[in-house]
Amino acid sequence: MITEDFAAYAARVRITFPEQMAPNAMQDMLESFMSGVAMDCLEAGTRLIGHIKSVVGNDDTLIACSVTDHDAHVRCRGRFETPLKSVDIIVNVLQYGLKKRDLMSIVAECSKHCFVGSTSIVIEDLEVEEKELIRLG
Amino acid sequence: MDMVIIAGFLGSGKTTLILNSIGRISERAGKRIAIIVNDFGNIGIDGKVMEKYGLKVQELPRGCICCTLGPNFLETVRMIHDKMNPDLIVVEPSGIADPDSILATMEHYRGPPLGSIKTVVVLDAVRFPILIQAMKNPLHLQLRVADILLLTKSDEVDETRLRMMEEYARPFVGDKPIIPVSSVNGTNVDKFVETLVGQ
Repeated sequence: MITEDFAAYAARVRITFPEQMAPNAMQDMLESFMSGVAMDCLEAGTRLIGHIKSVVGNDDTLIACSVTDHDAHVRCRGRFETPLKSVDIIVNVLQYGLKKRDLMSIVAECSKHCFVGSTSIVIEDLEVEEKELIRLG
Repeated sequence: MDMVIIAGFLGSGKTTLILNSIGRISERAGKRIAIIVNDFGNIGIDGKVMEKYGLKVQELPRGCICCTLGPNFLETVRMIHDKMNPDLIVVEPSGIADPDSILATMEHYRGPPLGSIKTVVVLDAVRFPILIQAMKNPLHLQLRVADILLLTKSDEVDETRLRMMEEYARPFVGDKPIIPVSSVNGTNVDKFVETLVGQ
């Protein structure tokens, strides 16, 4: 349902840590990130969350997380099971009320705040053909 | 070859429903099934999740099959028919799609004739109050084309909410089945499969 105030943002967030992170810590950070994006959207003026969803995974594991409710409750399918030094998160933010540039800013800020101790965060917009990477660290 | 369109607002549980029912549909009806997923962004999340759980998926990323991706959608249906010749194609449009427009798009399909096209509409029971406030008209359009209406996430709401939803939706869906389902505890997933296969 596309209305005038619908906007969406799809990105790949690549996070690197100086050393391997425990699976539980990584899970907590991912869930905190997803919840944070939802809460920041609502605080910034989203009138309706459509779907904020993410997937992390490779051939062995897959963690799919989702937020749809305005209480920013995160539902995840799958969990991190092994320590990781870096992680690629594909995130889609689909909502009504904010512009895409607001969503880009929220995803960047939440990445910085939630993945504590990371040495590098690179965000790639998955909608544009000519890539412009945002480097945060 | 038949087609089932699983439509519904963003985050209403379309992917989860497919993950929890497709195996049962295949077993119950002995059907070979292909899935078309239309997701936002050029790396589709829903398709990745389905493939992880062993389903064969054809993705239509970046856009909406009810508008910009219409021709690609028709081409994909034709390609699936030619290469796989399944008994059933399940289509999961993005949650911004208007199912009526998808049906209109299918009128332009020039491949081998399809059998039936059914539309299953999923309606999020948890977010129902906010959806009827914020998305009233698009929601009504969805309800009008439903062959089966599923009230999803029924495990998270009480009976009163489900009754209220049924009363609200009944004028739009007429005598079509309205089934509360939960993919978390499996409530009525079998009933949905029986209804779909039996129709």
